[in-house]
Amino acid sequence: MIKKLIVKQNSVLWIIAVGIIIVPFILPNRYFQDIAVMTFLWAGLATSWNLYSGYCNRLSIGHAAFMGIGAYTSTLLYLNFGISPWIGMLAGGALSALTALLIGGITLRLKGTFFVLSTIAFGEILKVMTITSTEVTSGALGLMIPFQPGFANMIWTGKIPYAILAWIYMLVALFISVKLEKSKLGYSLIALGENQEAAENLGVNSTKTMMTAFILSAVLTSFGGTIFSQYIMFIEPTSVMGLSTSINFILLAIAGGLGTAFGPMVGSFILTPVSNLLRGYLAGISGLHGFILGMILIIILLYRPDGILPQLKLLSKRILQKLDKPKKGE
Amino acid sequence: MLLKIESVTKKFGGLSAVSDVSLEVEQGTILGLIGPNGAGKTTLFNCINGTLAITEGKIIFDGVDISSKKSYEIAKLGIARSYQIVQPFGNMTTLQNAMVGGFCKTKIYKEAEEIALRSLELVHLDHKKDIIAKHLNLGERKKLEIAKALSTQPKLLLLDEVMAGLTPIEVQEMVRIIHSINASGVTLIIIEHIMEAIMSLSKRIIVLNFGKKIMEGSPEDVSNSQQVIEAYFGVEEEELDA
Repeated sequence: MIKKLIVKQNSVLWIIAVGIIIVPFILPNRYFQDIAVMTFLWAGLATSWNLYSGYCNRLSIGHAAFMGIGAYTSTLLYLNFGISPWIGMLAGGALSALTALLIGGITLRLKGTFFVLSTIAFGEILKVMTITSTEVTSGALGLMIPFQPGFANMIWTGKIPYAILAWIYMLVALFISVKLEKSKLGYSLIALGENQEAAENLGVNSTKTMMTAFILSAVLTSFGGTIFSQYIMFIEPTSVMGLSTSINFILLAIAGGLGTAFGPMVGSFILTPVSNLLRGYLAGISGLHGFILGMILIIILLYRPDGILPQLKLLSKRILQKLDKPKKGE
Repeated sequence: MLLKIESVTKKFGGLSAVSDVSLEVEQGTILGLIGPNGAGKTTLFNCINGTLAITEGKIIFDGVDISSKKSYEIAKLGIARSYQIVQPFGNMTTLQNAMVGGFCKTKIYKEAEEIALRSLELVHLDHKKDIIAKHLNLGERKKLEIAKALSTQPKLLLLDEVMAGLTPIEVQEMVRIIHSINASGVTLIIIEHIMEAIMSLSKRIIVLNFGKKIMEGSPEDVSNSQQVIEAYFGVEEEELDA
């Protein structure tokens, strides 16, 4: 009975995730369509981040570094060698996997706060490296991608193709998360996050489990970086690698529901439009949108520390149970 | 011999928590491990299942030297344990908890689920399978500890005070559960303070005190041994000497 409901709830979420693609088509102008693209993209990025950090309960606060690797790899290959960003995206993914293997090998064994601190260090080191190696990355000036529309260049005139691309990206990340939840890797990861010693005693190879998930998460985040750079057509170290970008992944995931497949998506669906609209409509008083967004987040975290999604699930379960009861009585 | 421990010593700095302990466990038996608090019983468990690296000695399980293996490797070889202080994965359901162990020997979701369900049935917890583990009471958590361990399909199961804190009726149920686990072909080592329970379960008991093995024998021998009584209640002369 309860299992059936959970299955139903997941299919409801799938319907929302798939059906949401109608929204950019009915939105009146480019401004709102832009918000839709960013909402999907952030949903995908936060879901990718959640794959490791959410399920394993270990916050990687330098995760934007992987987004940066994705963005810079595809952009540099495109600008210098004319290689299509589609291939650049895969190259960025491969480079991110390698970096994750290297960094993970050093940091994943660290526990608690030490892991969190090491990820900040990693993110910041990569950012500083990108800023200082000016001859390759043009440093803090950033890189401009010339506007040459075409499928091969991953550049389009309208917003709709980007919305579809970001939406597909989000669906891929969601699909992997849902698969993960039903797999040995997922169970091992969640168990490790709850109690490492107890998990190891049940045969969980913690190094292998964490490494696999960390690499998976890094590669997916890097794909998002490529899409981001092709959409904005301008990248600079702070916007794609900065701490604030990493924190945005985390906020969306926590607000939506940490360690749940659809939580980060729900978080992004609510917070990304709100934050963009606030910024648009409250532009008169600078900083006001940030203040209001911060208040919303504090309220969510204060009253619903599990995140929005688990609360919605609980609520819908109660409603369904109430609807069930009178039927039995009849 | 399923398990052979050869003069194992575990030192924490200068302190020997386990010193020069040797013991053998035969396939299909239940070995009782008793001793006063701080005798080194749990430390010995930690050494056997690889949570702690042993300082000296050798542990041979099923013909394989496991002295320097990691705990997840030992779990895969067939040793599982339960914790004295229960360690459920609080935010997972009872079934999901057991399934973590179920994935020890298989990668297929359905199989892991079946294995987990079977172990939950064995400890009479299958009716709570969809409850989130942190909502279980102590007796149920103790059962869940066993179910998790059983789901790894062990040859040897180490139970660390699974009856502590239970009501007499729950203790009786637990004794029956342990008997049925043993009947299904699992060899057990149990640490227990409830003498009545341990006497009804194991034919052979080993007594530890200050990390040393002071006695090995049948429940009757052990309960009549002056040495064991001294270990538990102390002797005045000894106290004076110390």
